[in-house]
Parts: sequence; structure tokens; C-alpha cells
Amino acid sequence: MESWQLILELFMEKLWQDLIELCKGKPEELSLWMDSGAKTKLYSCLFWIILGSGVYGATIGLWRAPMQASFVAIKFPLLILLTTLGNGILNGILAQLLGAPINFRQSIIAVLISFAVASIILGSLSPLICFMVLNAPAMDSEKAANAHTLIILSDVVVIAFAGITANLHLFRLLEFINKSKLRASQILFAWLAGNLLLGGQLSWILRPFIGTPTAAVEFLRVNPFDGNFFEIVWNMLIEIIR
Amino acid sequence: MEEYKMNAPEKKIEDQVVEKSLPENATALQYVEALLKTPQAIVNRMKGGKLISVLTTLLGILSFGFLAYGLIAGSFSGGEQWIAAPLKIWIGLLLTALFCFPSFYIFSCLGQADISLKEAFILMIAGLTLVSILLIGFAPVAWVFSQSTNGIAFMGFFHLIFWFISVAFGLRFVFAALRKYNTKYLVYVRFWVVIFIITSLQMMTALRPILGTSDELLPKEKKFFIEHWGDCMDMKDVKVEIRK
Repeated sequence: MESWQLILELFMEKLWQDLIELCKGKPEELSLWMDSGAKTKLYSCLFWIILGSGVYGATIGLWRAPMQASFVAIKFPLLILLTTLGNGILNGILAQLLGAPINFRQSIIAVLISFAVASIILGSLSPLICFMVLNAPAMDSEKAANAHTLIILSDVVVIAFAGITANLHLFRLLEFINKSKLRASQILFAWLAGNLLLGGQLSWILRPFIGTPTAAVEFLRVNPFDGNFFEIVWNMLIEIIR
Repeated sequence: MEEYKMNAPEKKIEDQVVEKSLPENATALQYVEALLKTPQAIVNRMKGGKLISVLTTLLGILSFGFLAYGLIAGSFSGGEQWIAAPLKIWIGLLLTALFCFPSFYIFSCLGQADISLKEAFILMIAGLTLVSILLIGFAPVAWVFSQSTNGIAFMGFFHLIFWFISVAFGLRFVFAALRKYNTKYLVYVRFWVVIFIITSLQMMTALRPILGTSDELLPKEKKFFIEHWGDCMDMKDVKVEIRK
């Protein structure tokens, strides 16, 4: 066997082992990922985030158009990575303020681990979402609105499940590192709040993801920075109450 | 460290059965008996290697079961459905397994199962094989009702009941086997069960009609299964051939 083939095989085997470790989420194993010598684990997290969330993004964009699928395949991992990087310093500060024995690099890796787990789950559900999208009434049919709603709802359920599972893994890891459930809960809550704040707004800026049937297929909407995710949600809530 | 101790699992029926192993050249009937009576024997066989022979035997039994049940389903309308229904059920359920497998493996890993990709695939196929065996058991009942009713919705309801009962036993086997692979959290696979059932129902809708007849082999209109059921209840776009 050629040496490059051997290297590739070893590399793929390593990635696969990392996937299994991420999924199992044993805190005593994942805590070793945060060591300074474990650079390959960082690359592994990035690989699974880009692959898993990219494939999932492609499936949810597929209903609108194949071009939309390719756009979302890029935007979904971008959303995750920008959220992690954007909140990197904040998450590190919050963790250390709350007494966690980790530094800035380790807090970024911990967040990346949880996003990698979520991405793997999303990637594994992609064949099913793709099947659902292919079975949905076409965009130009009279039932397009129902199909659009169902795809959005399925997306919410799947992402919620992936997010909850990933955060359970993260909580167990934080509990193991901090030796305290309370401190782990505080850090997790602080990180989630920060990620929701930045991630919510970034998802608004990077829209569309699924794509509205009546709107054009675009990578980003015209004036993507116009508007505020939380303002839109607030206005929708007010509409419902009225 | 005490925080991470598991509670000792309750003794399950499967654990009380004398653990046996399947012989090297086990026949299909021996596999069937093992699936029904001693599931541990299948797991032992898988752990003993020679996964290809296990897989091919299970696929053979599964295919026979689904094709046979499909014949019964096709007997409701007759005509082209004698061939179309078995093929659609067989191919549809294999495709369902294929689509659901990545999530099955990942969800097993989330539950901390010490299972390889190949073993997980064979385990899923073994569960599906047990489903097909149970469907063969229901086949005579399904045939009797097929011959004595013209109501598609009624017949569809019966097939769904048989499907759910068979899947329940198939999944019981899967859960028992996953425990043998040191699975700590079965909740993730339980969530996967919902996904599997929904996918199988949608697959059958995508391949309709299985009961009733149509001018085309496969539908042109895309529908979700709940909408299709609603239409069947209202008898929209559904034909039933008068049996001779």
C-alpha cells in the first residue's frame, strides 16, 4: 500500500474513533481532549462540525432549491463556528469567573466538543430529513405553505434534540472538570445564554436557511444586518397576543 | 466517582434464558428460533465473528417474510398488486432501514453502547428480521380479512396494527441486544424508534398504493402519510378493484 494511502487510512480511523468518543461523551475521555497536547482533537471537532452540520444544512435547503442547499451547507457550519469564535473570549471569562479550572483555549474546545456532538447527530438524521424533504409537496404546489411549515417544525425538533443531547454531554464534562454540579450548571447556563444571544442574531444575519417559497434564492438577504432577531421574535409574540 | 455508579439493571426475561450459541452452519430455521426464543444466541454469534454469514442469513429470512406478507397485502386488490405490493413492502422497508441506520448507530453510541458499525447494522437487520417473522405469523389473519372486506381504510388499519405489534417485538429484541453491548442510556434509541416508525409509514405512503389500485406504479403527487390517511378515510383518489 502507498504511504499516502496508509496515512489516509490511519487519519480516517482516528476521526472515526473520535466520533465514537464524542458520541459516548464519557467525561473522563473528553476531558483529555482539552489538554494542550491534543491538537488533533481540535481538528477532529472542526471536521465533524463542518461535515455534520454541512450535510444537514444541505438537506434543509434542498426543498427550496439545489442552490439553496449548497448555500446552507456553507452557512450552517459557518454559523456554529462564528458563534464559537465570537463568544470565545466571553465564554472563557465567564467560566473562569465562575470558578472553572480551565483557560480560554479549553473553554473554546469544550464548546466545540458540544457543537461537534450536535453536528454529528444532525448529520446522522440528514438521510431522514432528506427523505422527508423529497416527499414534501413541491414548492410550486398549492400545499407548499403546509410543507414549508412542516419542514420548519421538523427542523426545530431535530435541532432541539441535537442541542439538548450535546448540552447534556457538555454538562457532564463540566461537572467532571469542576467536581461540582452547581458550578457546572452555572457555567453551562452562562454559555448557553451567550451563545443564544450571539447565535440568534448571527442566524438572522445569515438567513435564509430553509428559504421562503416566495422569496428569491440568495446566499444572504439584501441588507442582512437590517433587523434584529430578538426584535422580530418579540414582534411575532405581540402579534400572537393581539 | 460514586456519582457515576449505575444502578444495577433489573433482571430481564432475556437474561434468564439459558445462553446458547448458534452452530457454525446454522439453518434459517435455527436463526428463526434463536430470534424468537434465545436472542442472546444471535448476539453471541455476532460477537463470534463471521458477520457476513449472519447478515446474509438474516437478509434471506427478512426478504422471505416481507415478500410473503406483501403477497397477502396484494391479495386484497389482486391484479398488478400481486407483484407490486410484495416488491414495494420489501424494497420500502429495506430503504427505511438504510435511511435510519446512520441515526441508529449514532444514537447507540450516544447511549454508550460498545458496538461496532457492522454489529450495529446486523443488529438492526436482526430486529427487522424478527419483525418479518411476526408479520408471517399475522399473515393468515391478514389474508382472512383481505378476502372478507372491501374497505381500504379498514384493511389499512389492520395492516398498521400488525406492523406496530411486530415492530414492538422487533425493537424489544434490539433493546435487549443493546444491553448486552453495555448500553448505558437507552433513551436515545427509544427516540430513534419514533423516527423509524414515522419513516416506515412515510415510505409506504411514498410507494403507494399497496392496498387498492392506481393507474401508475408510483404516485406523482407527494403527500405526507397523515394527509394520505385522511384521504383514504374520505376515499379520495382511491380505487378498489372488484375481486373476481
